[in-house]
Amino acid sequence: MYDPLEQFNLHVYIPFKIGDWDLSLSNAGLAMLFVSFLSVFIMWALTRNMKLLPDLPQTLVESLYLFIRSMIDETIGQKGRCLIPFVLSVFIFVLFGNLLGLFPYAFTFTSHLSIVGAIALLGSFVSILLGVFNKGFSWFHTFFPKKLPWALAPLMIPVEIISFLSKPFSLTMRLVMNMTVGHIMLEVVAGFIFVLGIAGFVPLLFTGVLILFEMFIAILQAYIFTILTCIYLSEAFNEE
Amino acid sequence: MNNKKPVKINKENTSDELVVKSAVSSKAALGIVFAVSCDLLSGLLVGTAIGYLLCKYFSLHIAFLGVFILLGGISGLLNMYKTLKNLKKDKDNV
Repeated sequence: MYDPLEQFNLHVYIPFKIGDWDLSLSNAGLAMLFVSFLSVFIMWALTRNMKLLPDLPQTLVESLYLFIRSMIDETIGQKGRCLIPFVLSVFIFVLFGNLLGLFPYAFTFTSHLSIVGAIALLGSFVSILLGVFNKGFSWFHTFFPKKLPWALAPLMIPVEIISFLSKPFSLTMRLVMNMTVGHIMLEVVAGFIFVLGIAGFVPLLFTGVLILFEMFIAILQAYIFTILTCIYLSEAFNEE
Repeated sequence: MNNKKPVKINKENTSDELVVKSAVSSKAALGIVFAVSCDLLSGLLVGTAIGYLLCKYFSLHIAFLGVFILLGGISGLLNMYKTLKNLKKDKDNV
């Protein structure tokens, strides 16, 4: 019987090891490389003939850029505009990764904790670096806001440290859970198409609806992942 | 002589504002509610993990695990509050 979880298995295509480090090219690595090259190619193709009066492809890219810029302006403020390349890259990578999973035989790398976790941790790392760079020592007030009485320090400092550490974790969990559950549901429903014989057209229709729904979820989750990354990054700039 | 009045660009109607407005729709709000609920769970899990690791590697009393589960729950609630507050501020600005 077909296992709906089989789609998440890693398959090594090109084994490669350096000492204890396993740098083999797997289906996840291949999907990520494909998404990276595809996003760079699409951006290059749409913006190679930049004009003062933009045509449709240029308008699409400019709208995407303005969308991310507005997101940063609303959450971080204008001083956060230096983060546009980072946030835009994260948005496109996650969005393309989510959408790639909807194609038959394609691998959904955004359903893996290690991959999404690495992106979320990168966001936290950037937040810490920018926070220390912008605020210096006072960045550590993130763990104990200035207005609070010192008597609350034994409670608030551990709570804030756990809160800070749990942010990349929650960011990872919600994207991974959404992608995993959606794809399992899709596989289970699609599995009934041949089992039910002539009545298989019902799950077939349902699968079509589910794919449309999954497309909406893929875009929405990429948006939520990006806006929450912006909110977490805003702590590096704004005072609590 | 040029009698044309200069076109006044209304900030409300620029394309980027419209894109953000459409993104923060009622459907997106449902997704955000689910997304925010993950904060509570993750705080609890991270608190439990820290408590477990401290108990394991520093041979602390098992009561520390309970303390860190409690702290994790509080931090999860705090994260939920902060995220909702920021999202509300973001939506109000739009």
